[in-house]
Amino acid sequence: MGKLSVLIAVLIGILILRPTRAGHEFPIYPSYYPQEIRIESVNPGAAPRLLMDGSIHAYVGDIPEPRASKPDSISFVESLGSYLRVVVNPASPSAKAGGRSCAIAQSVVQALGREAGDFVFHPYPITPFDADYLYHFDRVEAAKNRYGGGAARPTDSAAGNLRVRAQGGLAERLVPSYWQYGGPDWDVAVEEVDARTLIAAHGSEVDGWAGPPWLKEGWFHAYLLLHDGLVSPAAEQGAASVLERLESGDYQGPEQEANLERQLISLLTNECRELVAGYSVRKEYFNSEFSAGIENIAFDSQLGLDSPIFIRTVKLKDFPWNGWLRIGVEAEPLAAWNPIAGFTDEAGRLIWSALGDPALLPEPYAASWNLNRISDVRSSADQ
Amino acid sequence: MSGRPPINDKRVGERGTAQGPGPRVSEHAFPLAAAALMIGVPGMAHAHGFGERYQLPVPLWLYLFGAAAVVAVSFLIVGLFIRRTPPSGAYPRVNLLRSVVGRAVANRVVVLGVKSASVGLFALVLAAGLWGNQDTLRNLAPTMLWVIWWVGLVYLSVLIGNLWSLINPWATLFGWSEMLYRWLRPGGVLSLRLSYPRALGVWPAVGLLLAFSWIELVFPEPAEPANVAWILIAYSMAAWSGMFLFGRERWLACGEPFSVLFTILSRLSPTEIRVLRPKWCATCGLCCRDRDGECIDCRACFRRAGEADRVLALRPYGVGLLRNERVPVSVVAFIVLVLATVLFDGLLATPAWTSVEGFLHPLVPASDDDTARMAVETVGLVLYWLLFLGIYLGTCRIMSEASGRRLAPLELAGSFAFTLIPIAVAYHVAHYLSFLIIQGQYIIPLTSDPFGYGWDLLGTAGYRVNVSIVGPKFAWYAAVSAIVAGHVVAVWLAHVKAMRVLGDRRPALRSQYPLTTLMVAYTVVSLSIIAAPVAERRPEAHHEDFVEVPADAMIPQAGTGQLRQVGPGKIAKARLTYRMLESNFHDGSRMTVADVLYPYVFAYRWGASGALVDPVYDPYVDTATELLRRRLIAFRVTGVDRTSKSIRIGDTNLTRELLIVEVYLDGIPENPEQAAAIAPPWSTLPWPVIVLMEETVKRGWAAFSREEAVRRGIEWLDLARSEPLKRRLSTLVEEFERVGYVPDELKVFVSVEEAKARWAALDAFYRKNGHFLVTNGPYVLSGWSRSAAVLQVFRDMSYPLGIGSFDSLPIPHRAYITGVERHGESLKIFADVERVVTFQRSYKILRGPLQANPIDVIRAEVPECRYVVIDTHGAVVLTGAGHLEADGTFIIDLHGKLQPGIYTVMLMVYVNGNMMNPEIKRLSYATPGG
Repeated sequence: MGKLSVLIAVLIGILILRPTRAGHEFPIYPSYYPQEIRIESVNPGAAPRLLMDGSIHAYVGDIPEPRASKPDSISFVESLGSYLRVVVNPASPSAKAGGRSCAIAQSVVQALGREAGDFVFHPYPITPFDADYLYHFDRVEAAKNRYGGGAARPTDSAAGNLRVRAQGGLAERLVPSYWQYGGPDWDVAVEEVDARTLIAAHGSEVDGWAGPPWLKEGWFHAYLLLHDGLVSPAAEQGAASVLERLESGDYQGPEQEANLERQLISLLTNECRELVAGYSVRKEYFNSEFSAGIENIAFDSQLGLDSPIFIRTVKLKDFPWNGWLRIGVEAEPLAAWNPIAGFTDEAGRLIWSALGDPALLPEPYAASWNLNRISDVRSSADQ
Repeated sequence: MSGRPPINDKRVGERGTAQGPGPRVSEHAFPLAAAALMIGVPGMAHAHGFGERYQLPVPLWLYLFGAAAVVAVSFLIVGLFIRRTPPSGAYPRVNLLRSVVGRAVANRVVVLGVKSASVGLFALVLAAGLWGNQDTLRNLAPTMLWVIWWVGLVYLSVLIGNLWSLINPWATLFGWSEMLYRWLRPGGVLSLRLSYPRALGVWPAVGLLLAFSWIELVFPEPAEPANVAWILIAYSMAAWSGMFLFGRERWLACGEPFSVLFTILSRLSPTEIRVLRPKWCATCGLCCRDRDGECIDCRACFRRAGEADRVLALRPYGVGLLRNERVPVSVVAFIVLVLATVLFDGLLATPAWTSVEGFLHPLVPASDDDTARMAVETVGLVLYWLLFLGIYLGTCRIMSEASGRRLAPLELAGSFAFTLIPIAVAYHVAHYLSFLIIQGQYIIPLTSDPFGYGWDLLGTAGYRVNVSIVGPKFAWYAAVSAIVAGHVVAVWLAHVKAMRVLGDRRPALRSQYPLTTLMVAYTVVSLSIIAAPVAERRPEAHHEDFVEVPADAMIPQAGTGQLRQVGPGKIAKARLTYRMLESNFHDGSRMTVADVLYPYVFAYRWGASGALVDPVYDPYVDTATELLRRRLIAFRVTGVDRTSKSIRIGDTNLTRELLIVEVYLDGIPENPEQAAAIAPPWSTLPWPVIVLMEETVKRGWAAFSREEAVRRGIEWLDLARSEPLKRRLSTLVEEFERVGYVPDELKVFVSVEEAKARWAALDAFYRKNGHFLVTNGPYVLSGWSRSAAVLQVFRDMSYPLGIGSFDSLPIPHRAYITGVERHGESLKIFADVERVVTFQRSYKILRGPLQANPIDVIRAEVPECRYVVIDTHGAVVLTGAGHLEADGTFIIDLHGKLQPGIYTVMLMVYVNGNMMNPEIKRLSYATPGG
């Protein structure tokens, strides 16, 4: 074989063996990591076992902590769980007597002032899971100091005979047994208010819209939590007026905004009909084992895994893209599946998170929004 | 003469070359739809053209200066070179009646046929208005009245001649009534023949034209078909009453504003009718002979005259304006009114008027905004006319003085009044030509379906209006050319007229100085007004903290969702310009502007009633959309960007479209992303799915919300799991596909053919997937059971986001303040930050000083330091962000920012946007001397 033949053979070989690029490879993958997502109802009691054996990858909701045999095979994310709200019954003789609402409410808050498990004593309606926490930090500290960092016994003499209705697991766990009362003529109610439910109920998801814009702001949650307890028309009107200013941006600069927020909290809490004693932290577990588990996920500081950002970031270790993701939720999807006023339960919201595509997504660890189907938006103020 | 046809433009555009299983918007569809949006809808744009604007290549003042200079120079040229003028009647004429064609046109049978057709059309318009579809664009009446007749006939009158005198249905019908009456009562006359006071001149016509202009410019809904019909009925009563009281010819000459108008305009035209012998004029009673003894354009004489005395002549353009005649003040007022109303129409769309209206609005004691607006605009209309009239009469007074008082000011005003006609026509061209070209096309489909019942009598119902036939550039240059040409012609006519009436060149020239100055001023003012809605100038006008809302921006009507233009004078606190990332829906159909905007319609239709008995209301939707409806002032589609997000991969082009929509809001939060969340122009559902759900609820098959379902005792609407409902929906989809159903609000964007394709795509999707949950989201519902749902990824190349889009968000990590040093009035912050270190498919979070990293690594983590300063009274006095230094520390400079005193400073540092559970440092701070 002559040199020319060898050269030709080599060239042909190179041509044959070189990677073929017909131009049809797409180095981009539209949509997100898993190729299939199965969302199914799983009994919370069975969920830890299913997580550990890899039958499900993540569980949206509260479950007992899985006892994994291998370290790091089960991980969790933390988000705001629920508020513990103290409500004084206006019809209660104890509260009526000489305007003692504040003394009674504060006594109950003080009695709840111990940290236990996932409960954090925090006698202020804005929590560290709210992006405006910094604006209120001094007041949070002052409130904690006011209650002496929590004391087991009420300081008010009348508080010893209170009839306290405990609503929700957290409340039942924390309200001292000598107070707990199941009858209708209660003096004070201690209620566990699920943060996710509270926020989701006020989010407008009609046809993939987002709103309201302040959905994740601490002051908005405080208003939702406490405005029913406003008694005097002056306080009610004052709170409504401040709320309107905050919602419409009717303030000059962030200083005025911060002062309005603080004023709103004062208006909501001054009458003491409703107060916040603290909050719980929700832990949601996922399988992080190599190689069947989840590599990483994003979540929402207030909605946890029941949020659109979870679906858009969750990545399986086995299949960095493609792969079959299985998610457990507690309840069956009972709410109707319509994108106007349906998908209102936990499972429904998660399903809709994957099906729908809103213009904006809540910023997961702050109170603003991430642009989703908006390329960009310009305001006349910037032009 | 101003034409403000407030037509609800709901049909537009060539649609869809198919691409994939679903229809695809054609390249032109968006601009068509957008333009249709802008020019359509009740309360139609005063600009009568384009929501889009033309950016002038040079500043506007240069155009104004140039146009004024051309007018001034033309005066110099005319003054220098026209030293002699022929007598008024001495112009070349050709009697068309001597030609075969002319005789054929004037043939009684032909004339009768034309008149009969006109009367038939009049009846058809009335019937369509009263009994036809009340959608303004699907009904013949609004387009015929406001576009074809009110705008189009002006051009015909100028270009051809006084056609109105031939086709005037009120005159024809009254004439036929007279004939019938004479046949029933030989010798009888169907008129009281009251003596018409000479002093009355054409003042009745002035009054009626003013009233008509008020309806056109001020009345809120002049284009509603029923309103059109009632306007015609009311006017018919007025016209026939006038004819009955004073006689047909007298009323047509003095009281019928349109006869007066079109007769005046046709003086510019190249045709005239004339009667040769004076004996015919003795009986018409209209004093029609001019000072030269000629009877021109007197239809009464022409009708009576014998054939030998009749002349239908072809003449040079414009000579009809130079007749030697006495012109009453009422005619002067009429001509100035014609001039003023066109410009007033333009003025309504200008920022200046918005300011005036905004200032006067609160001063008007009216029960609501609409009444107050109408009051201000009514006064404005009258004052604007009187201002024009006053300025013109004042100028004539100066002319009289300048020319040595050879003629009294009023006589001069009459003499020169007709020289203003070219200016009026020029204003008309400038203001309405583009509008007529675009909007006039609607007459083509309407001829096949005048009642909007879905007929196709002549096979033209499917015609799609080409709104891109002319653009804002054309509108602007047409306006500039027309205005300059109109004024130059007016200058020439005025000079010729001055030479004739003043008899000598010198006083004639002197008399023209003030008139030319006035015309230069008219040129500048009119161009400025015309420029406002067409040409873009920068910077845009702002009202302090407000932005103007373009008159052609739209808002849905509460309760019905019908899209309406907001009209002039609206302001908003903010304008957000969105560029939306469109993509395919799961059924393969491509998103269009109709999909993006329909949720607005939905929100106003289903959320605004507040009455539970209303079948088109759901309290859930009310609550969920309340903020949107409270804050939204208007929205406007302004364009589509096909380039900035399009990419080329290998040999494949991925064209991604960005729909550009302006949204005007009444108040927004300071945070720009929060502001964007108030009312984004977006839908994750295709419009057919929303329509399908609406129909389901309207028919009582299901309710949107659980609360409504319980209250009404029906099922909660489920697009996937309710088998009986899906069967009904499937039938409905087939029915909609068959007829190409499009909701009224979308007819401007969606053709029947496109609708058919969209419904077919939905039907095909249902047959394949067994449900109707079609969205443009990242996953498709592929299976379900009582306790589970299975979702398949939607890897469609049109989907604009994908793997990696949100990869900065997983694994949130934190920062910790490790030290604070005070340096004078600055604080230096030291911090540790967490970093995520990945290995294989796991990660670790490591904590270390921010300073230990190179600045580029530091910046990649996006560290931020925020602070709040509180005074001793507990008030927040300062907030801000620390400056990240190259050494990885933050500096907070408080110099000069605080009054002397003692403060509390609260600090936090965070990375990558994670403000959750921060560690906050609190310290005391005393200012120097505090």
